[in-house]
Order: sequence, then structure tokens, then C-alpha cells
Amino acid sequence: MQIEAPVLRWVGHARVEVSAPVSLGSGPQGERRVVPVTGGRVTGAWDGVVLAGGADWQEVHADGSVTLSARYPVALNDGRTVCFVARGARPAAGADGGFRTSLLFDGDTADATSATVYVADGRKVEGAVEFDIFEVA
Amino acid sequence: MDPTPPTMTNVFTLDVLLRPPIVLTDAPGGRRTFIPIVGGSVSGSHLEATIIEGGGDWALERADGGMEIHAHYLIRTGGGEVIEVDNVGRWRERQGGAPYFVTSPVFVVGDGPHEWLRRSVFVGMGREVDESRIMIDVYVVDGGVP
Repeated sequence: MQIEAPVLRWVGHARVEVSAPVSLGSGPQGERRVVPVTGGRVTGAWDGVVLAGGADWQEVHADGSVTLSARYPVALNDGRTVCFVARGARPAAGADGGFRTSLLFDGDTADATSATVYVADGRKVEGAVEFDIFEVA
Repeated sequence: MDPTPPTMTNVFTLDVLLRPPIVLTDAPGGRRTFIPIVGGSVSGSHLEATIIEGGGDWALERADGGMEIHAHYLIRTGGGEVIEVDNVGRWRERQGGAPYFVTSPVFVVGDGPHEWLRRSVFVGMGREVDESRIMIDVYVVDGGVP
């Protein structure tokens, strides 16, 4: 029995505002740095506000590519607060700042939000990252 | 019009051998178990490897009935390189169909022939073969294949 191939379905868009990276020096896999999340907005299947306080923990490799690992809270308009957990990669600089991450929602919630995984497709812009969110169905 | 989703390509399949779950203390969010991973293989057009015994899935059965997967284990490629697999996901049900699970695998790997694994984003589609074996088809989100 073969499992069906995954289908990606667009569910929303996010703009996540960030401040200047804080360098933690070199680690085994490259320069480690923390990019604080300061705010932002989510629209689409869920509407909400990105809260300050989360961050993206990054490793910048020798070839310029970046491994990302971000966690930040998002207050949805329906009253719930969920945690966006993004893990992924951005190719070396010189490209268009585009990146892909996997995305999941960590929260003690009984709804579909935390029942699957997501893929984010976006780019870095001045002072923020913007991405579309696709549900894996 | 909705944005066009990225395309995905099947790059390899994980064939994972398990031992019976060990029940852990409950977490605030539900019931935790550890499912030992004792071996298996990885095969496909872009990766051939064996699964090293010793890792496992720190699973959570949430109070709301949802089942969360957090598997962490090692694989060894034909060339001898050891790669860390960190796979987070969720069990799902399809109407009239068998349960399956979706995951977001992340690979921790050094420089070398497999470094593309850390630059790419993956989706896993998994199923239980029997109580002691699961299989996961791994897809790379477009642009990630070497």
C-alpha cells in the first residue's frame, strides 16, 4: 500500500517583523545568531498578530547558506494564542533572499491548526520576512 | 487567486523498524510514550543509508485526541557519513482510509556530498506497515535536490 503524495494548499500569508541579528559567535556548523521577532501580522485562514518575544535562531554556514529555527507566539483573532515553529533554510546570499521552511503550530488546541504540518514559501525583505503558508493535506 | 504552491519531488523512503512503546510519565498536554527505533533503511534516488539503533519517537497523545510525533535518530550513508534525523509530525485520518502521518523532517549534516539535506525543506508522508515497522515517503520542496 502506497501513501498518496502530499498536496500543498494555500491557507494564508504572514509578515514577521524582526530587529537586527545578535551574533553568538562561531559554533560547530557556522556562525550562530539570534534574530529577535518584534511583531507582524497573519492573514488568510487565520487572522492574527505576531507578538514580540520570539526569535529565529540561525546558523550561517561557510557557503553563506543559513539554517533557520524560529519560534514565536501569534495571537489569533479568535482568542487563541498559538506558537509558530519554523525550521528550514535560506540559500547563500546573492539569491533573492527567498527561503523555505517547514512550519507547525504548537498549541494545546483541539482544532485543525495543530493537526498537520505546513510549508512556508517566502523571502526576506527590509526589516521583516514575508511568506505564504501552505497546508500539507 | 491563491499563490501557487511549491512543487515537491519524492527523493527517498525511510523504512523504520520499531520496538514496542515504553510508557512515560504524563505531560501536561497528554500521555507520552517512547517508541524505540532499532534499525531500518533509507533508499531512493538521492540517498542510500541504514538506520542506526538507539533513537526513537517521543510521541505525545494529546488530551484532545491528537497524536504528535517527535522522532530523533541517526542514519549512516553508504559512504560512512552519519546524519541526524529530527522528524516532527502529526497523525491524521482520511475518511474511509487507514491512518497516516505527515512530518517535517530536518537533517543535521556536515559539509560534503549530503549537505543539500540541510539546505532543503522536506515533507514526509508516513504509514504503519505493522506494529514494528513504519514507512515514510520523503518529498523535497522544489529547488532542493542537488
